[in-house]
Amino acid sequence: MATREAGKKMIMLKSPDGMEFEVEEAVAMESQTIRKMIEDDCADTAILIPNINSKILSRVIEYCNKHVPTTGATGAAASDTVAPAALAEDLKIWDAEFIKVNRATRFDLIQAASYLNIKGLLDLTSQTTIDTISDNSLEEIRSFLSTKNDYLPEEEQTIRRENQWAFQ
Amino acid sequence: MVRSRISPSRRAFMESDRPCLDIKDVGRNRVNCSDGGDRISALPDDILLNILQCLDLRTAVRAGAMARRWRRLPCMLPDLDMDVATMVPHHRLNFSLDCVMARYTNSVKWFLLPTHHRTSLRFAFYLAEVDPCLRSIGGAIAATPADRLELTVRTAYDVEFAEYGQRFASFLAACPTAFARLTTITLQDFVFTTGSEIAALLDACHSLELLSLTKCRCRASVA
Repeated sequence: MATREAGKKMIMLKSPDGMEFEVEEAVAMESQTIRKMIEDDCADTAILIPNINSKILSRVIEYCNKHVPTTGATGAAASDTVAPAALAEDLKIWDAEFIKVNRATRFDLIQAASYLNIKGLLDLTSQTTIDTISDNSLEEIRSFLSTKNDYLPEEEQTIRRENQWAFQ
Repeated sequence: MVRSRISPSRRAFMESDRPCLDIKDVGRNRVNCSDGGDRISALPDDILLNILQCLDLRTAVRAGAMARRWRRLPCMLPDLDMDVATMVPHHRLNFSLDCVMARYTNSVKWFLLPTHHRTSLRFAFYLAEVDPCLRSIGGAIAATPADRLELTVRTAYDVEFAEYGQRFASFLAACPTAFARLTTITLQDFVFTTGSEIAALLDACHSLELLSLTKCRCRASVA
């Protein structure tokens, strides 16, 4: 299944925990950070991706694989025969399933998307966070984001008073 | 499912995290995973600002009150849209103009405290007394660098029609620097005395690209 196709340039991505992922250059270039490395000839045989563990990196690659524009004759998807609108709808459904992860993973994905500069993934992961907290109370937002309140009660009162309208 | 060219051992590792290849099941397993603590606060400012920028201002202020890490983030929003209408408590139908404008003025000063470059700043408020509110707002606007500065001024039926023009002229005279920097001005529900107010406004606004008058009249046409 994973036979190398002729003419496809491959790139090796290494996570700091020592795992290596061989991906098509086009897939890796979904990341603007990696694209720049490749274009500037900074990428040798392997690119070390710091701060992103193999579990998250594999998910990022999964996302890029799905979102890389198909140029036909890849044999991977029947995209040549599917209308663009249907393809976009399929991607939306796929994204919705992809983002069904726990909060810690979601925040790791946001961080990875930011570091690797993958706009689509950053938008997807951020939007889920935005949808979660929109129009909620301070306590609910804290709880949804698992943020630790490090204020003394009187400090929090002061902060609430500064913009009282937002807490009514 | 994963279409990248990954060696069998790597693939085995990746798939060890997902016992079943059905995405739905994988998703469910993940949701049940442990939470991992406060990860979002560890993200860099620009990502958190991206998130706050997409929220309404009320939620963004609440999020900014979560913890110290978040404290100054709402003040750093590159696009800031402050409408006095969002600051009127939902449960109070009768509010005093002075009270709401005092609240608005304090918020403007709070948000514009750091001289932080903005992409766009939008303000919408009532034509209250120039002192202390409008003068303070004008001062804060004048001190904040921004690519686009938009101002909407509404009247609040707190005085006779004839006084609006006079009050607006005082506002203009009190804050020349702020007006000189505005790129868009919208005036709503104004009654002008002679129309000379508009000429004075155009004279003061050196950066103005768009002037909108909504439901405005000249006194002569008011019976």
